[in-house]
Amino acid sequence: MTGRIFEYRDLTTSADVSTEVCVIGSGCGGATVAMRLAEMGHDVVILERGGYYPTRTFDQDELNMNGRISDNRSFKTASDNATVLLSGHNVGGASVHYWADSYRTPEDRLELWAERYGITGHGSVDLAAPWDAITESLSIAPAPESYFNRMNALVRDGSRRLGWRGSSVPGARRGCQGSGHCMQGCVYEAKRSQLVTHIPRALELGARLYADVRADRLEFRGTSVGRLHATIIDRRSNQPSSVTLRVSARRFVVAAGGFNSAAFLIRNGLKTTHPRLGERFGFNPSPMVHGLYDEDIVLWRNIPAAYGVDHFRRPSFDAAGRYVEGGYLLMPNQLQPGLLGGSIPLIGDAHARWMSQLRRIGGTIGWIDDPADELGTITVNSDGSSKVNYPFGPTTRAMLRDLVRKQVQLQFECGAREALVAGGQAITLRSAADDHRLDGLLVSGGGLLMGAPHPSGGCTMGRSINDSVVDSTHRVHGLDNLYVADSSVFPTPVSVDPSLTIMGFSHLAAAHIDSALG
Amino acid sequence: MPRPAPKPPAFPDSFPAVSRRRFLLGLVTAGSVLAACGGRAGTARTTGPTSRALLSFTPDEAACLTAFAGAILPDAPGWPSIRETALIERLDEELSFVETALRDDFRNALQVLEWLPPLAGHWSRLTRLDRATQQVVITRLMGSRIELPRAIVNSVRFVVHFIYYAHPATWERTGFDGPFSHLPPQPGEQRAYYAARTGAAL
Repeated sequence: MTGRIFEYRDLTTSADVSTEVCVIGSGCGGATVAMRLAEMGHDVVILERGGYYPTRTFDQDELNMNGRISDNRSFKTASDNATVLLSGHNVGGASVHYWADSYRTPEDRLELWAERYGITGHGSVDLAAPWDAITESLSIAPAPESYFNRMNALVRDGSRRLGWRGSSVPGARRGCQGSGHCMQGCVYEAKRSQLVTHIPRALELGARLYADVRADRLEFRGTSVGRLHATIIDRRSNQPSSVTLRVSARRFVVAAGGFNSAAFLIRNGLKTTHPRLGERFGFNPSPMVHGLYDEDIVLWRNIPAAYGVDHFRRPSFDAAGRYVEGGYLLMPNQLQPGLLGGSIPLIGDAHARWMSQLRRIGGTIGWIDDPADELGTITVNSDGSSKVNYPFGPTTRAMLRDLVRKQVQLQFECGAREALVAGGQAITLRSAADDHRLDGLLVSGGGLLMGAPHPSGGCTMGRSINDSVVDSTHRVHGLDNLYVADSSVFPTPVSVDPSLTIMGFSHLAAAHIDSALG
Repeated sequence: MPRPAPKPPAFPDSFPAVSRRRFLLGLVTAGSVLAACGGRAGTARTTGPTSRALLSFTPDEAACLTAFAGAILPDAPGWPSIRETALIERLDEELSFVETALRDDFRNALQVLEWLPPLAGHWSRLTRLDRATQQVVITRLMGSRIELPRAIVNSVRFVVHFIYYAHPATWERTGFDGPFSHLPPQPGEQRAYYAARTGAAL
């Protein structure tokens, strides 16, 4: 039995759809839970707000692909009006544009979630089998030497000389061509996104996928969801059509991603009954430093991050509890010329001087593990759009500044003759000894030009409705058949790239839903 | 103990957004009043530097964006112009497909940008300054200690540079060897939709 993908051009009249499980979202969370439930013999419908773009439609053009696979064309920012929110808007979600870094959740993070937040059944023992299965289905392996472009080799060698611990990054790739177009979608299907792995697997087993469908309203019957009302989006105009879908299911799974799941539930009125909805939101803000080298770097080829420095993953504090350093991963950067041009914080001749030496520009990037007591919130505006409110608290700022200092130090160790902090002040340094120029570095609102690639929280998992939104079976507290299966259930960020954690959790969610279906 | 099914809220929890938007709208309204006093209308159909219709921007917004881009982009020989890269038109196209609130925020940002030079010590509108002075103003605002103008200027700059350097006309000067497989462009249905409404070439 095989399933089918329906798109806006197929959905020309309003219709009723019946299924056992309706999954909202087709990224790492939604695709994985859908696949697992299909493997368990259940009838599954997946709804995806974005379009279906098979790999044969990928042209590696930076702007064309940004328009297809990046939500709001990467224009949407957090409450500081500058930190760019990065998420997908397509079948396969953010996995189609992600870097495919696939770390298992660190043990200390799983222990924290269990001890402080009361999460049960999601320890490393519970996740071992799912991770093994995902490792096989996504071909996850440490990056081999052939994947190391010049910047990766420099970062590896330079960080080792500094005494910083690191390792080859485990990545979801098979037969990589080294194109450097991970962020434009892999036309070779070498990067193992959900689009070319879990989605086809689910379809083979009979799942139906409806693309260009915006999930709108949950119709409640007592403490159960009876139906979901959805609207077909005319992809050509990106505007809602008059065509609707009404989906009836025994179970509903919200997997719209860290930026969208909480907002969806808020729009459906759950904030009044679930006070923690929208809270504990983090997004791993990611500052960059650019370097100018006396050799060709060619930042845009081969894979983005073959090597990662995890020496500073856990932050350190002094005896008085004051922040000292750390709390982030640090990696080589990879940008195609448009994004690179956008992230060089200069204008006029100064900007052109850098861009005319494009081949000699190197870069590093890092993302902080948002401090657990300085997380933000997701709210909903009067027009229904979501808003990310992020406080950039004092420890967050200190971490970001320290991450920038370490990147500057590393760039010079790698041989850069000039380092430029990607931020509005355009601080330029010519040696590591210049780092006093980073004192007073502005952070939010364009002080640092940052992306936010890894949303977490908003529908956190925990003990009760008083401290969380879902229980350890992924079921929304107090409701019989509504679940959440994506990064929005994490009570804190993961401290490493979250994709494998998301998929592992979705495996467990599927098992609970299967059990509930009987 | 299961709780009763929730009812949709009567009012959203959007106070922080209203506060920020009120600040922006306050600046925009003040600017619009001053513009009206100066005799400039903001609702006529807009065309870009290539004379093609624009869907997102008013004439004043397009003028501000063009002036801003002219100040920050290279003007030395060998670099393509705003017109050659169809920068204004491409940004208009991209904005046509984002959330309405986002598009409105960007347009408001342009209106605010026009009136920001006094914060950088120059008592004039951005479009009335010469290029060198525009560059001084923009650089100061990019590093401003006041967050909102800093965010506005950095965000608009980012977008302009992103679109400019993604255009093939810049690649010879930068040394970019192009997409890996040099595949034929596949514009897609949204680009075709926009082209049909504006006469744009794909």
